[in-house]
Amino acid sequence: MNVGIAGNLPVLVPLVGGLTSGGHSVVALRDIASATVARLPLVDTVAELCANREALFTNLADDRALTERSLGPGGLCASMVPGSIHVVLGVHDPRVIEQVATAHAQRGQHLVVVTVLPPTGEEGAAAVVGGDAAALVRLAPLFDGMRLRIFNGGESPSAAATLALTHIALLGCAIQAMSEAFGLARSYGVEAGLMHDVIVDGLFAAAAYRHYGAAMVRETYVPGVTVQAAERALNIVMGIAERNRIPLPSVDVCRDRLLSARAHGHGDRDWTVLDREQALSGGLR
Amino acid sequence: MKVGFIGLGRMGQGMAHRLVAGGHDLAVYDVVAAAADSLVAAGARRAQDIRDACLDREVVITMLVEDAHVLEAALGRDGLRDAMKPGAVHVAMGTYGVDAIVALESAHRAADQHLVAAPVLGRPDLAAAGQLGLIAAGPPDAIERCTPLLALLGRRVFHAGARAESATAIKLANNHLLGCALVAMAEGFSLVRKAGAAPELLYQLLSHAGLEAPAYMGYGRTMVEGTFDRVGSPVTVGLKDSLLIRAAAARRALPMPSLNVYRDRLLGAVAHGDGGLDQAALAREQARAAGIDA
Repeated sequence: MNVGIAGNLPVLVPLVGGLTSGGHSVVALRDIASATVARLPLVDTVAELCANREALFTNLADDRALTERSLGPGGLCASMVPGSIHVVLGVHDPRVIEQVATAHAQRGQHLVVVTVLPPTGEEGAAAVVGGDAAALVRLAPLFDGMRLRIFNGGESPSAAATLALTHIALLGCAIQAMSEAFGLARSYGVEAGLMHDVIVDGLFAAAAYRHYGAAMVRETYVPGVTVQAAERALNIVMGIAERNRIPLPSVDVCRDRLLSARAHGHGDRDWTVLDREQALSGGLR
Repeated sequence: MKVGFIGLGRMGQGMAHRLVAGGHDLAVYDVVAAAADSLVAAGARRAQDIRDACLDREVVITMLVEDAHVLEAALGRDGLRDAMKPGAVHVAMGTYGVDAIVALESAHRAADQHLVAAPVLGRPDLAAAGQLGLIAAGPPDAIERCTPLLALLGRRVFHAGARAESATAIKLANNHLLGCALVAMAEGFSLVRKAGAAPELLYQLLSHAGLEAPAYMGYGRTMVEGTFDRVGSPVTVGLKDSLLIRAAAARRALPMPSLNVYRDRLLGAVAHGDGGLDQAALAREQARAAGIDA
């Protein structure tokens, strides 16, 4: 396939490696710094990028960047050929996804979300995809090359995005709950390692509990998922909840602790630093 | 070994059978006399009362539901403290609170007896099969002496040191983790429902992406299907546990914000008449809070 990179964060580079080694032709916009690092062929404009490209990837930091790159003058909607696919990586508000998807559809273009989920120590990243079924089939060889463990979230990109965000929130809640469990154990003289062994032995034998529990026992907090990124995702979830009038008290607890973590200067650390926040809250550190 | 077993309910029944089948000399007692029948048929002796269940026993196991019951059984007149011989071991295997365990520990020590806290992980089917996880803490010699019994009851013992309350803290922390998973899952299902996606899809995603744990798969299935009257762990027991967890945290001045969420949903479930349903019914409570017909 002919693939264009229309916006990225450094994390896209390893994914790109999978694309080029899979025999796909990959071109990037010149203004993407890490594209130079990845030694991709570069073009100067979105229009040049989209000519003859079947799939255009974005992996942008926020919703405003997505709407600008997609809907702005000389943006993707204006430049993509009919039938081509805008592949949206990164975490975005489903409402914005819906807006951009509609704009693409009006021009005979497709939008597919690929929301890569937080790592849980397993081989290859899990990702929720959503969009037109035929477009997903065409993208399947690319997903293989990128070594993504795909979960099909259905034909609606915004619903798939909501599903992915919900899962991310549940992971956050699990980490927060584990931090409280470790805190209680520690306060009664129990080592976190022993508590972790008990946790993953029965009811919580699962990759996320093994992976995040082990990280909390190690206390190194190397991202993974930064506090900042997690907070952003949970803010989007709370926005969906507010619009739909759904109280989410557990998610709210997790988001508040992420805020504290950021207040304490840990915005760039892994979200397992929530363990430290819990210890701090109880005077254990 | 000469063992007394007090508390022959859903868990105690299967556990006592394991000990009888293992060839131990068992005296059994429950306030419901009929609970001892099948054990007597298997070779146990029916004790007339708690004192009788402790007579000449090296180890007395209690598997009771409430702190009040174990405190009464142990510290009341003709209870374990009065009736156990010096050097005997009370193995407290129910889910008790820290306050109760600390009280038992000091009372037994004063009577020259030993307390081992050995709460269990698992449900009645695992109890009957001797496949429980056990968390043991207390005097090392006492635990050592109980090893043959623990080996019959469980597949694995997690040793938590010399202070009985450490085992209790681990058990309560694990129950806390379950409660948090329940309310988080309930929130997740309510979110996808209202935002127009299928709860079944979220359930499948959980197992695809790192949350394939029995806690999520089991209770999550019940939440998706709405079969809350198939009761594994009732809301009322969850509420009791949440109060024990809260008391344990309060002893250490430890904030546990997710615990309050769990406890509030449990209270709401009881208030709305769902106290007898499985804890997965917290999904119904969350749906009520979100204005969704469950």
